[in-house]
Amino acid sequence: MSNGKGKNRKKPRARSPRPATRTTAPTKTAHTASSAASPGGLLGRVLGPAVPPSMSEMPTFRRSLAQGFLLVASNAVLVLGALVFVYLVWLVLIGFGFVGTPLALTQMLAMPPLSTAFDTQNAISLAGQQNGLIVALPLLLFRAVVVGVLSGLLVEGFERRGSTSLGGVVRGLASFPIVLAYLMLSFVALFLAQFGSVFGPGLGTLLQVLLPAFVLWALGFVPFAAVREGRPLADTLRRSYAAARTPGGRHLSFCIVYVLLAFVLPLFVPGRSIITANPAPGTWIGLYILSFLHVGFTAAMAYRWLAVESSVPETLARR
Amino acid sequence: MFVTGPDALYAFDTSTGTQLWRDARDAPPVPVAVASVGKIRAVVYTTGRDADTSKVIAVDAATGKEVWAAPVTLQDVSRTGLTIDGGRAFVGDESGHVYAVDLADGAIAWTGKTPGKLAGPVAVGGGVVVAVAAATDTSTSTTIVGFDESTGDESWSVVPDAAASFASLATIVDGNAVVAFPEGTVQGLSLEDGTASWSTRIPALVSPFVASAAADGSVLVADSNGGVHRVTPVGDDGWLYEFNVAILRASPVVVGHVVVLGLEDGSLGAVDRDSGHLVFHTAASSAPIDGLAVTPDTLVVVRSGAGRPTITGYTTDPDGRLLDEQSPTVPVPGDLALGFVLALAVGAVIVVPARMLGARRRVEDPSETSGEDGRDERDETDAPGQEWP
Repeated sequence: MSNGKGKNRKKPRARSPRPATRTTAPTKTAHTASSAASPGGLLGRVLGPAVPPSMSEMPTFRRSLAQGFLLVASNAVLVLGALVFVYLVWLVLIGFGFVGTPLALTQMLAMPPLSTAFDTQNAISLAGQQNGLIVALPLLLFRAVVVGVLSGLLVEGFERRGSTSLGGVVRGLASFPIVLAYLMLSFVALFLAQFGSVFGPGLGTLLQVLLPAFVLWALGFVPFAAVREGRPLADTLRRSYAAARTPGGRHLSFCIVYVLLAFVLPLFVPGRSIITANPAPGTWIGLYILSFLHVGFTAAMAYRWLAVESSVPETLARR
Repeated sequence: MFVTGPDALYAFDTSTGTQLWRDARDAPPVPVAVASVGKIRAVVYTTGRDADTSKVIAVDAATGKEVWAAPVTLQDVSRTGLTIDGGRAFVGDESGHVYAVDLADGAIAWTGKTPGKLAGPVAVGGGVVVAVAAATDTSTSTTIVGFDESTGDESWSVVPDAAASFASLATIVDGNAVVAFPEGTVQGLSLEDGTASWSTRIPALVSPFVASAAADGSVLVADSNGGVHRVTPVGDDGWLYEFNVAILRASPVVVGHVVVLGLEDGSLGAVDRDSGHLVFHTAASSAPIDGLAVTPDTLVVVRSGAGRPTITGYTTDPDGRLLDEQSPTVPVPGDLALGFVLALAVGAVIVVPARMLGARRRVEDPSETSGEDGRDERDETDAPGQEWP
């Protein structure tokens, strides 16, 4: 619980019960910012109006990440659960006859659609190119459970100021249908990203980085919204998209930075390219640190959703 | 021992490494073949860097003198080397032609055509000549073509289900042409009609310049990641040994009870055919291994790369001790348990200091920290001096 000494908490309020059914309405601030700004061009229309970050409902990068990592680092369930989960997934992969490098684990706890992409790659490694896509579909169910449970724990972690319980797991599991639908949408997006190669190696690669970032930007709040609000799918998708367009949030930049890091950081995992069933200690440590970073970023994402949730308009502003 | 370089064909004494003679040629280095031409033991090889100069030549192995009245003229450059069977030499070229050359007089018996280009030796067995044609552009796929060995008529043609621009070289094993496809399957294609008699999966690509080795009904496949797989038509008794060093140019060869591999780091590895355990692995070299050849008492290794090509002969070391190491892809319980211990350790390294520093007390619920007007009070600390409108 809060110690009530936070210097930036002027008016601490009693924590309300789970606000899952809270009816939110656009705030005056959001209205003002939205109507005052006049975004230019297609990108401006998609991303929302330009507003200085200091005036935004969306927390800054620094605050989002600080809170995300504070929550995860201070919670033994989140840290140990995540790391042991990565370890157990490796055992399962090996048990199913997986032959490959520990790179298969680098995105195991990444936010979708990155994790979905790696599920597909691992499925192809196990079952071959033709059967891999068929195997990848059931893996979406597994991934939906993982994403749902992690989202439930992270949301609860913030709501309870750092502590988590079985209730968070249950809330996460309850969000399963919405999360599964979100993952299926991500899967389709990734499938389309494969065609990026037709634009040549340069533009194709750029597209393969930007498309996951865009999907994460537009739909990345869906799991947290599903845990918190339990609305129908269409409503949840719309609210995630609306939250992503929070004026001045620089949320797309946040997502691009995350996706780039997710692509680059695995290159620093020692022994990443060695095909083995028995990763070296340095490889394990690198994988665990990477997994911790993924969960920390996911927590930052949850924090961002919680911060803007109440200001997300019920209907999308038409421009 | 006969080896081609870019400017000559060389003859060496395998026991001493002494050069016996050389015959000038101007062509990419390719494998050569040794065959009987009448009573003469001849070396047959290709030469020429373009379609106008591409030829097959046979020379006396003892003297280096040409044995045919005239070289065989090909329609395009050849890099496949020659395969000898039943008094004929079979060779392919970059335009996809396959030629059968009568060794007796150097006459072309027949010419076949594949829809791609040929990168390595054709396989001959069971009365069929099998050529693996690589795709020539992105709109086509690799094609495996079987020709009647006697007439050159096309017996069958196979395009893999999953479009692929290349496949491994073919090896004839028990009435099948064994080919590894890029989507991760090794298939035994019936020499009668090209249908897949059996198929098994390996989790890696096989280089288009590498053929499999066969012994006792099993097939030994070297993949481009450095894995050596024993596969069998019935799918049992298989194993994998992983070198973690690419194998791109040298096909594996079977020597006694081991299969020998030439690796891209220049090292030489050998794996027991029964157990799949490593038997020996030499130190890395500055140049990758291009090819392996076996004589009764010597293993000959050709290395090229960017530096000066070398030919090294290896013989049995009576004082040497063989290894017996299993593949790193075999799970070792102790090593795997270490991963669990490290998960706990890394978790503790993260959580304990964070808890000691009071990280949890600083965790906020942002849904409660917003002001009544929806403004987040954090902004006052993040951007001091700026006013909310």
